Amino acid sequence: MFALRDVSKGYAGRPALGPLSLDLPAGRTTVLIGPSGCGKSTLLRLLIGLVEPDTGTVTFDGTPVTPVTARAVRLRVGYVIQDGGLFPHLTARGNVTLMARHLGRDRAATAARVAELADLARFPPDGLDRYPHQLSGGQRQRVGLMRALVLDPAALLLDEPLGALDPLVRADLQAELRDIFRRLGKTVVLVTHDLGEATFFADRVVLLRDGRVVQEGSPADLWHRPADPFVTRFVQAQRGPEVPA
Amino acid sequence: MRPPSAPHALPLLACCALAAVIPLVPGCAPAAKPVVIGAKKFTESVILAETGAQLARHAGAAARRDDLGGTPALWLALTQGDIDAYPEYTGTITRQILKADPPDLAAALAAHGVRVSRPLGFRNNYALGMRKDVAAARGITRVSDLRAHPALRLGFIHEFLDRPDGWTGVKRHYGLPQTDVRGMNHTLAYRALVEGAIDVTEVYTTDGEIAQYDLLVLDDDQHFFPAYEAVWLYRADLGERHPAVVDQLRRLEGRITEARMQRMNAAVQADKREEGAVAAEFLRAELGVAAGTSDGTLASRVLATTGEHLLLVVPSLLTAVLVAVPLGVVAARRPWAGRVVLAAAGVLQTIPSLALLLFMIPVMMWLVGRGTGAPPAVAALFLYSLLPVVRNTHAGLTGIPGSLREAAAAMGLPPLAALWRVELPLAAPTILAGVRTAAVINVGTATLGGFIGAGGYGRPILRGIDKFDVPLMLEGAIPAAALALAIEALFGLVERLVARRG
Ligand SMILES: Nc1ncnc2c1ncn2[C@@H]1O[C@H](COP(=O)(O)OP(=O)(O)O)[C@@H](O)[C@H]1O
Ligand SMILES: [Mg+2]
Repeated sequence: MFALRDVSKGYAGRPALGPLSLDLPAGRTTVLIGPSGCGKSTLLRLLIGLVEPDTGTVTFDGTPVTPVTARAVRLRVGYVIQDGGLFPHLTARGNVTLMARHLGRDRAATAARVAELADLARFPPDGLDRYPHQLSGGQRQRVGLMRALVLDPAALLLDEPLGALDPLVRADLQAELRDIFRRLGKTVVLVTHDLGEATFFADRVVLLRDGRVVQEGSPADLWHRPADPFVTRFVQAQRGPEVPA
Repeated sequence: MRPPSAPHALPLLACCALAAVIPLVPGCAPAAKPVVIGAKKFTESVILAETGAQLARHAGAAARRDDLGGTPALWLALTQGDIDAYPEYTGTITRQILKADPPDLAAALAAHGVRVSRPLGFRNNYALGMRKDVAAARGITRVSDLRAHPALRLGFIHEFLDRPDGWTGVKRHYGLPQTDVRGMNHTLAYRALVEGAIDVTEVYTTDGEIAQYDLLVLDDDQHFFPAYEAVWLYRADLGERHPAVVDQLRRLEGRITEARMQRMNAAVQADKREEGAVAAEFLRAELGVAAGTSDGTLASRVLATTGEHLLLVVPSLLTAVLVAVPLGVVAARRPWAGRVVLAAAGVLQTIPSLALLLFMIPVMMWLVGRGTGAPPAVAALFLYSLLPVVRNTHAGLTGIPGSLREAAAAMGLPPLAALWRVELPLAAPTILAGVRTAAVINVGTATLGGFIGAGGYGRPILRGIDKFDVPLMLEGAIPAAALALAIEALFGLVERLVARRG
């Protein structure tokens, strides 16, 4: 669905990502993992043209992502940004429907879509008319997810969606999210720095370090067939769930 | 407080402001244009204009008095049709207005569409005045005696300083050597003279203060000062529109003696009586005319000045907001443009407000053909209101967290839609605070409009300063302060209202 060819990106002369080539297959969940500052968010931004690559090309469904095509791509890709990014001046419903309203979508259809998404994300209907600061952290993430899904996108990008939640809420949401991903069958790219979480979600894991891909493969590959000592160290630094077979 | 939503906040604010003004604006209902009698900003001119307005009402016309600035402002207003008539002096007409001494004054004025009445009876010549004891100590009785006393301190009103028939002319005509010459307000000059801070000032021969302070009027022994006979100047078309008004005005011809005028001036200056009442008393005694004064009750005067003041504040503030918000947006989007815009608005703010106001007179004359009254004041207030709004718009927009701007872009909102639906609403509280600051500055600065005949609270304040009349000053100052507080309260309300609807 997404393909990167020899892509690199730097800020003020310092390389932040790449050069790297990567394919993100349709209908699968790919998890980008790596220590903080390794370029995970930059990679997500490149996918929808929020930043432009210094070299190389990014394509979505075969078409290059350029400043001209970026908007069309963004309408087909849902994005949940790192710290939620809900607009504080809009209610939960206002946040979810903002883009539909901007596009002049039918009101009744939009309302039905909101109800459907609230059901999917298990968001309480009476919370729809609350403002973000009146919601719990978990509820805010649910709203962020609903907002990303409102236009029924072909792909869903999530940047550390559960990073700021306490462990119990986090565990519940992980289970629900995986369930949702499976039901929707969309292309999902999820960023995390937690290997347990990556293992839980991933069909495929991409491990990044200093802007480069160190290893990509199934979660089990990272555990059993580490590509270099860094992978071993990264894996051993994590405490958590049982090693998958 | 929750950030409010700009698309709702700004129109709401505008509506509140307009709703507050409309009932206050006098003459909103379509009515025949009233007869306007102009006055210069000194007591005698105001009393004469007041008699004129009362006589016009006696003739059955709607009429009011309008206090404008000095001679140029009055002449401009007369030829433009802002006023229909005003009292003038023959010496001023030849020397300052026409800058010529034509054999046929009426014909020369007719060329400007202006008629002149016969003299009203008294002369108000310029003369130089001194305290009797100071003059006696130096043996001064005539203007030519001043030549022997170069150290004397002189204080004149600014207009007299610059006029060819004022200080410049006397100095040359008599060869006077004094160098300590200061410009000051007429009433202050009298005070300074009486208190010994200056030795000589210019006086008008009808000034109430001459008798009040028992001053010596120096003999114009080499005949420099021209005759200043009081006359009416009125528009030629007034005779067609309101013939009865012209007839009534001309009833004053030859009816006012110098002594009479001095007494009327003293009644206002020394006894603090209102010009309208003094004029009415004169008309009743001299012509048997009983007409109401144009002063009205305190409440109606305050209502009228409030209306005038809001007509300066509201249009200037609204246009400033309409211009400053887009400027602030550009400034926030383009850092280099931001520096230029903020620096330019900052420079505007450092210009003294009075200087900016006076500078707008020729500018508006050139732009809209009206250099007096409200247009230059509105233009100056507009410029003055820009900075707080531009600066706060810029600050509000640049203060939005990058993650929110990224969220808007990532959804696929195009830049303009992101601005309208996300950025402006988030910046709205800051922008609103800027508008609030601008409004309060605007209300205060608008009182300076009194200097150029723009009306508003500045009019009673300046008249009060001229007459040393504290209640009259307060008649402008207290409502001005109240209006500033009311605006604060209005904005507080709007902010709460906006916050409640989210
Ligand atoms: N807008 C930016 N300006 C300058 N440097 C940036 C910017 N965004 C990211 N970087 C740098 O690029 C590198 C990768 O950042 P990021 O993609 O956010 O990492 P991650 O999401 O993996 O923590 C970091 O060194 C970061 O400091
Ligand atoms: Mg990141």
